[in-house]
Amino acid sequence: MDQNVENGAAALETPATAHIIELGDSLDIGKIAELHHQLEAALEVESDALQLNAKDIERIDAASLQLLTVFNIEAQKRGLKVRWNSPSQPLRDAADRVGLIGALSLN
Amino acid sequence: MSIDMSKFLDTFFEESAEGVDAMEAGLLNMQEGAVDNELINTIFRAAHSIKGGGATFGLTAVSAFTHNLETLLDEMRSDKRPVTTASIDVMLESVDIIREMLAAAKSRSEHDEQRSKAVTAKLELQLQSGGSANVAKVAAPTIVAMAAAPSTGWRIQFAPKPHLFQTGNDPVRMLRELQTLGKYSVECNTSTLPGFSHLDPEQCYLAWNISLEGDIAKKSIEDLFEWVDGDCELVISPLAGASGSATSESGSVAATVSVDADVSPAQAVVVNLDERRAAAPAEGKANPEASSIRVNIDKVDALINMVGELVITRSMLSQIGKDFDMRRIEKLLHGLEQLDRNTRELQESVMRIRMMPINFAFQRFPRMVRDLSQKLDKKIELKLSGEQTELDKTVMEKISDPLVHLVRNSVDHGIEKPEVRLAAGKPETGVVHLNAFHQGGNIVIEISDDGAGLPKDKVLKKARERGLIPPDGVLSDEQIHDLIFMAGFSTADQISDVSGRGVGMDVVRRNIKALGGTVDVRSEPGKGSTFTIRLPLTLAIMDGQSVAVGEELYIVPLISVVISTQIKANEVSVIANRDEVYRFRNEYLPVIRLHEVLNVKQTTTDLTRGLFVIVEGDGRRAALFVDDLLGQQQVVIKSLETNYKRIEGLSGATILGDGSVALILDIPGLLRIAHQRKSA
Repeated sequence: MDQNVENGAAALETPATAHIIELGDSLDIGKIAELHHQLEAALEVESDALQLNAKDIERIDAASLQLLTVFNIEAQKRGLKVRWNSPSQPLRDAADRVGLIGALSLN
Repeated sequence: MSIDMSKFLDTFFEESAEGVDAMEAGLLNMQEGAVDNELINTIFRAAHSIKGGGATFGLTAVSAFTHNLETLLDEMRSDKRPVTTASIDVMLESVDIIREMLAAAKSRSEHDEQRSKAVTAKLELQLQSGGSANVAKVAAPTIVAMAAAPSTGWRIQFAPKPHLFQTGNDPVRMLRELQTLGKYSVECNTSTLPGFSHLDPEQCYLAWNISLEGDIAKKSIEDLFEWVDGDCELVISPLAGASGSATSESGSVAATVSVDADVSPAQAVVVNLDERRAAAPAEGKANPEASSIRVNIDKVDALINMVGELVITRSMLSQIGKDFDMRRIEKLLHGLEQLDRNTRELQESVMRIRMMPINFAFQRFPRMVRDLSQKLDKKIELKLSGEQTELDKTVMEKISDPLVHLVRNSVDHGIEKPEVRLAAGKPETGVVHLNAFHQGGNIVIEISDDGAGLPKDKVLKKARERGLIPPDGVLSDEQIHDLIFMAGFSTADQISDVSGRGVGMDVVRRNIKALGGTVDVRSEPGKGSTFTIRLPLTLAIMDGQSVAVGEELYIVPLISVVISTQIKANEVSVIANRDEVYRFRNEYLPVIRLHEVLNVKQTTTDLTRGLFVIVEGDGRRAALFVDDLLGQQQVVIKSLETNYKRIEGLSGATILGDGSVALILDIPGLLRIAHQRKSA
């Protein structure tokens, strides 16, 4: 979270670069509030693009996928580009299984 | 807001413990050859909740183990398999295993895997044998009809309720299981997703439309969703085909698994328990280590009412106090009276919260008696009555072990073998009866059996052998019966692991005494014995008689007071120039001058100017000499040991209305001290 704010500050100074969101290795309902805040803050950052670092994701549940989907839709609405940085296989599998590959722009 | 799963885990353990008890109680009520669907349903529901919860919390061993048990129950419920004693036995063993597994998970230790494997094997053996007898009579015809004719695939409409995520269920995990069953394709309905600013990330907005192709039994799909029963709308209909649209109409009604919504699994367990209590009052929860108690909502409401009254009284009093003049004194007194009433009622209500029905202690006995009677080859019926009688939680926890001992004793020593009973002209099946009721400020628990009664001669002989009584002493029946409570006394011819190890009855009496209670036995040869336990309802508050000794004030527990009386000089005599005795109803009681024993200065040493409080404790009586009686009141007991140190002759202290501390006399202890002083 703190790290993200720092990232946000960095992004403020250099709006041309993408704002980076670290997703960590495990996303579940227990951490959903944290992720929610993280994404909310990211949407407020003045930046053209948002980059989701998802290479470490080992586990992700439907609640987190749903949140990321809503985030993705919202970002697009605001004209922000959302970019996945090497999404892990577990993430792709989970998204595929619940039919959210498209909505998450993972394809 | 993030979800703290450990909090749910505790609740899960607590509820599972109740579930396990419910299963056990249900199984004990099952009878060979009789299919009581209501009963099986109750057991099934409990097993089902444990299985679901176990899976949610990652206790896979628990859920996997419970699954087999559930299958067995399901087949019984649907008449596919008969109810046999063998299967009941295996299921009872399974319940033990589940209980152990849960206990192990709770304490983060390992359960006995070998044992659970052995029971799993037994369960599987049961499952393989004797099943599928009567498919025609199956309770849910639609499901079976569909299962019997597997289609080439299924359409599954899965729409979770918003709270699904909060129940710990994850569609990613559920759909992964589904994926393994056949050719899987999924569509997610995202149209109901709100905008980011309106999103509650813990709510589920998504719904899925899944098609699953392959030769799949509908039951296996339903099984995957059974843990979210009530947390979703689920429609399973055959894929494509001419019957497609028609079936999905009628079929959707038949196959909608969603039961009454808005009931989380946790609540469902509670509901089940309530049903269970209504159906079989003998059952209840027995988790002696439970650190929380479930309180009936009525009690809480009563408490809130009381507080409401108190608030009204307070504002009334402050109103009077604001511009007080002497004309309003009557109103003030009235207000104070009301305050007194309110606080007393509030106190009673709060105490009532700690009170639990005794069936929490009783409910372990059906299983115990069943197992013991099998082991001992006896036929025994256990009767329970007065299970709703309430007593303090702490007292309940402490009385459990003595009760177990007494019931074991009745089963082992009391009830005779069937052939002996028949020869004595008694019914083959013996009866052990547990009864509880309130009497005055006490709860009375009786454990009676219609067995052989105490063997008086044997008891007497043994007591003489052990030198517990003089060889030529003559004892009344009552005194002989009382001998069994002496240390190191056991009359069992053979030492069994049921009872008869020579420890027990004395420990039982000691434990009960420690609770401020008593235990007696009545027995009639050939007709049986009755053990009677009397216990105070609570350990925290007692009725006391305050007495003055010099400057000091002491509380005598009212339960120990026989009578208080003025002293006439001619009723006190001195024996051997030393000991004073008081003649009371043809009995001579030792006189205890409290100021001497407690070492305080008394105003008078002249007996005729003070009073006697006749007290009783440990079966002995004495006359306590005090200066004055000050009145009776309820006192809240504060432990001396915790706040200061243990003092012989005193059982605790209390704080009086004026803020001063008064000590509470321990009458049996005091009698002991006085006795020692006399014999010294």
